[in-house]
Amino acid sequence: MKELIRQLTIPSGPSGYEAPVKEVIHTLVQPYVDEVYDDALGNLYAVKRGASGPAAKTILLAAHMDEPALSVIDIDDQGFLRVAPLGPLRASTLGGARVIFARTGRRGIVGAEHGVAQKDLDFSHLFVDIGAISLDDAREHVRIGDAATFAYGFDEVGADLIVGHALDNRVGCAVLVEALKRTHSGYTIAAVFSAQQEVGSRGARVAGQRIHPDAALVLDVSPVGDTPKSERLALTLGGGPGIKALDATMVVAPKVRDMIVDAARLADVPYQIEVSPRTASDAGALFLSREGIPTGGIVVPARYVGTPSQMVHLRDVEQTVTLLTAYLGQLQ
Amino acid sequence: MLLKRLTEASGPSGFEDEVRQIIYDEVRGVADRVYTDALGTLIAETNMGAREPKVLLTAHMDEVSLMIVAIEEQGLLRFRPNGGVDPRILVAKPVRVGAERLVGVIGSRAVHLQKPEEREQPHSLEQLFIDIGASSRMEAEKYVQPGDFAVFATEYEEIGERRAKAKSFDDRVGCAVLIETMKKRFELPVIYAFTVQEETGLRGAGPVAYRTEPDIAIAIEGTVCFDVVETPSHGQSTIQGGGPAVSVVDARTIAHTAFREHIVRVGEEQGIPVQLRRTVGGANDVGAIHLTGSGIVSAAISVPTRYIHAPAQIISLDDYENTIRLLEAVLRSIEQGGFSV
Amino acid sequence: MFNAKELLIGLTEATGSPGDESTPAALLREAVNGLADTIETDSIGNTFLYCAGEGNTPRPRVMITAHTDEISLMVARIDKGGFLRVAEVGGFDPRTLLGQEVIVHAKRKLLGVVGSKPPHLTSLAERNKSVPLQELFIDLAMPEESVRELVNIGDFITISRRTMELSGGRLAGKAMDNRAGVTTLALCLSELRKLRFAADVYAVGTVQEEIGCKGAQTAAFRLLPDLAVAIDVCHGETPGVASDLVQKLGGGPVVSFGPRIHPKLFKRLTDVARDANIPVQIEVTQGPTWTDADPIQIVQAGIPTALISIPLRYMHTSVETLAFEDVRHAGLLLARFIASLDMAYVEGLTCYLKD
Repeated sequence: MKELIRQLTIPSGPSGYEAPVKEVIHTLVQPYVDEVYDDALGNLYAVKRGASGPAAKTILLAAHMDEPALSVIDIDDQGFLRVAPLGPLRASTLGGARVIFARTGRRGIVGAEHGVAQKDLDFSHLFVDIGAISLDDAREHVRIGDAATFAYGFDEVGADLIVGHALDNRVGCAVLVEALKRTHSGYTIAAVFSAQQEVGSRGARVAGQRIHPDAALVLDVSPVGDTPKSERLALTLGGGPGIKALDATMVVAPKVRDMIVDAARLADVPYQIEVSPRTASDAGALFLSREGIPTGGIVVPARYVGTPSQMVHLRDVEQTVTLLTAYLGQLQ
Repeated sequence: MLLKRLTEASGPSGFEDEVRQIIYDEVRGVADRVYTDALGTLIAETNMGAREPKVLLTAHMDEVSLMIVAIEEQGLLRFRPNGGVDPRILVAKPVRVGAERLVGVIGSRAVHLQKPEEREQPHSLEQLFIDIGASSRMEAEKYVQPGDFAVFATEYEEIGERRAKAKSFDDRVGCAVLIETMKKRFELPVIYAFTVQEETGLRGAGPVAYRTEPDIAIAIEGTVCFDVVETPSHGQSTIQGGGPAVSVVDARTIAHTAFREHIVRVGEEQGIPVQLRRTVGGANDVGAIHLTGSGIVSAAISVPTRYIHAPAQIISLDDYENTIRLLEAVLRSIEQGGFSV
Repeated sequence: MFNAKELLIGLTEATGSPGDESTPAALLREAVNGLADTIETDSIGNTFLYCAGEGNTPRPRVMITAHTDEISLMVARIDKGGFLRVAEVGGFDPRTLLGQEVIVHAKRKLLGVVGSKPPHLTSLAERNKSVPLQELFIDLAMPEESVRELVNIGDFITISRRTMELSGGRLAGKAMDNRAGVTTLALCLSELRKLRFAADVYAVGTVQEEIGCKGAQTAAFRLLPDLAVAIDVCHGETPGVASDLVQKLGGGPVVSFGPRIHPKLFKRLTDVARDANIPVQIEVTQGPTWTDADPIQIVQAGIPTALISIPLRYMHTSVETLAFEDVRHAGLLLARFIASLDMAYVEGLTCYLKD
């Protein structure tokens, strides 16, 4: 599992430019599914037909591939880049950040104009230094519209904890890849590795309309409340998978939530309930598709969500796969 | 003069009747079929039997405006903005009120009657009112009722060198580009949609995209241009006279990379100046269109417009003409199989 | 046949949080039993009451909606001592919650109190600041062990309030927003039974309005009606608020005008009211209506939509106050409006052009 997550966090996946992640996932899931295709938004669909034949009901499983990024909007005469955020990044936290451009692999450092207080920094004060000596030199490596993500990679802390800048949500992608491998379900599984979640679940919205499933489930990470003076949340790291009850986009109907809880109990997987009012997910967009889709979610608890160093517990990830597989296995 | 007629017409979001009628009279003899939908979007179909891809072109008819919400005892009108208006630009501007195009002025307390510290603050909406010359509520009610709209009273004029000023170039310039483009014939099914309610949340475009199910969509806009004194390059968004601007990222869309690169390439090949829109704020109808159905390959091409959403907006007539040329070139390239979805 | 005032009181005292609206939906189904030809519930909890019109097909297809959910809280965390921390499900003003009695929908219903620090212990500076939602806690008056035994993270919490009859036919309580609208749906169906009408009517009790008008959007997608009317509440006159933002309690139902409303539906509603002598008030809204009407208008290829509102004071508190007469008049207006519809009118709704 650790190796799979590492493999998935290597490629850069800015919102709207997820192709490098998509390619890796495509190769990984190909042997286990009946059909793979993509769409205009950048979603990757992997469909595994249900055991009960063409009449099988369909469940859509969504894990977003993208991560917040910086989009180049201008290059100055000395070759410094001006950038704007794709997704929820705060300018005040970015000074000195190391970034990598998805298209060319060029690396850069985020700098800030002098004389602006840290708390007052906005994106118009930031620039990216890619070591260029002129406008022409910079253009060799970066174009307007290119996007950069953090370049911190993957680390281990202690025995069971892993850290990375894109664990949100390559961990969810890893869970979904692994579940496709292991699962046998009566339902047809439409796995959607979704694009553009960080900018408002645009990929998921289109995927829900296209697939028109009978039910949907998102796989994502969610912040914990177990660090000093943390937000008042109930999830803990290592406490087992979180079953979604509420996030910023969604209230999960109790009957949908209870089906997942029952699966956890039957499979003897420890679980927690996620109530996370400031966390966005693809669930809300999927729920609103067409006539409305009963939607739930399973999340991996994570520390430091929204920073370049998200931390998860490997046992939580393993148990999330077990829970998801058990849940899918019982669908008839 | 098409731009003059279009920009001087009144088209508050949701009440685009005047603009719609002008466009209808212009296109009814050109398109194969012209109709409206439930929200009032004007849809003109051409060559629907031709080989696909089916292309949807959109421009929005509506403009930012002021809705009259109450009439004061003295006959003065209270209003609220319909669409994004900076209240600071409103004071001391003439407006046209209601279907009868009544002349009115936006007034406020004279500077002499304000305390020094008040003068430091911009006028808030509560301190502004429209005066149509009525001396009492009863007299005002003869001409106006709550729910009527006011729009800026700016006249279209060509000024400077190859520039024009008017209200609502955002997005009557797009409407004009579509009308001119429709007069050319393409071996493609092309649908021209003049949409409603863009300024209040891109509400008209989604239903049109849903109805017409295009393979490719292009919105033509008048977009932010602030290439003025003391603005750094990264604060300008676009440069006036620099050619049509292709969107990369805005508040509602990350552009389809392959299609936007194709448009820029077509411009380069045809010798038409093209620029990229260099900001991420704002949005246009593509934000709703590209998320319709199973997702639609879309792009936005804009005429750089200075002082957008203000009473007097400026465009370059060269940019306007180059936008018409670029759109034709892009459609020809699609016609010839140069871009497929 | 139901008594409308008793129905409204019963509906407001029932609980139905966004995501679990089954109780008010059941009360609605029970009330209209015998009035609707068929009754259905969809996979996300919307309730569809169908009444067939008279005459040949095609008949106008009309959707009328009122949301069944109410703003609620949810248990987010159980803190030391068994005190509950909460997340909101819908928009509360946390200042109205201090000292409020609530019901925690745990393994059994538990009555609790939102705790507040006594004035003796608060400094002047503290008293000048409102308490944010994250700082609120619910006291269930039992040991932490019992709380953990009975309460789960994710349990809903609703306001505890018996509905009160005030003087002059006014009612005060929680969830008048929008059980007043739900009652209007029932009144409309009951009135329709006295009238002849050509339209097929779909009365929908929608879900999850308070967290983004969700059920109305998906219900409209399912039904694809020729036109829709949303029923909700609007602000009642309150001292110090601009006159165009509020309406008179008892002045009649409020018909909305603005970009999100189809102009011909507005006109027909006001014409019907005038001809039937039903008092109405007019609200002009240049922006969002913040009701089910907003998403319905742009579902699929677009749906002509109107909005009727009941004036309500103290919205989103436990003492929402309205004049019952306005609810009754809204039901009448809606029924008469439906009875006025025919296919020619419906077809004219997409015609904006003059030749």
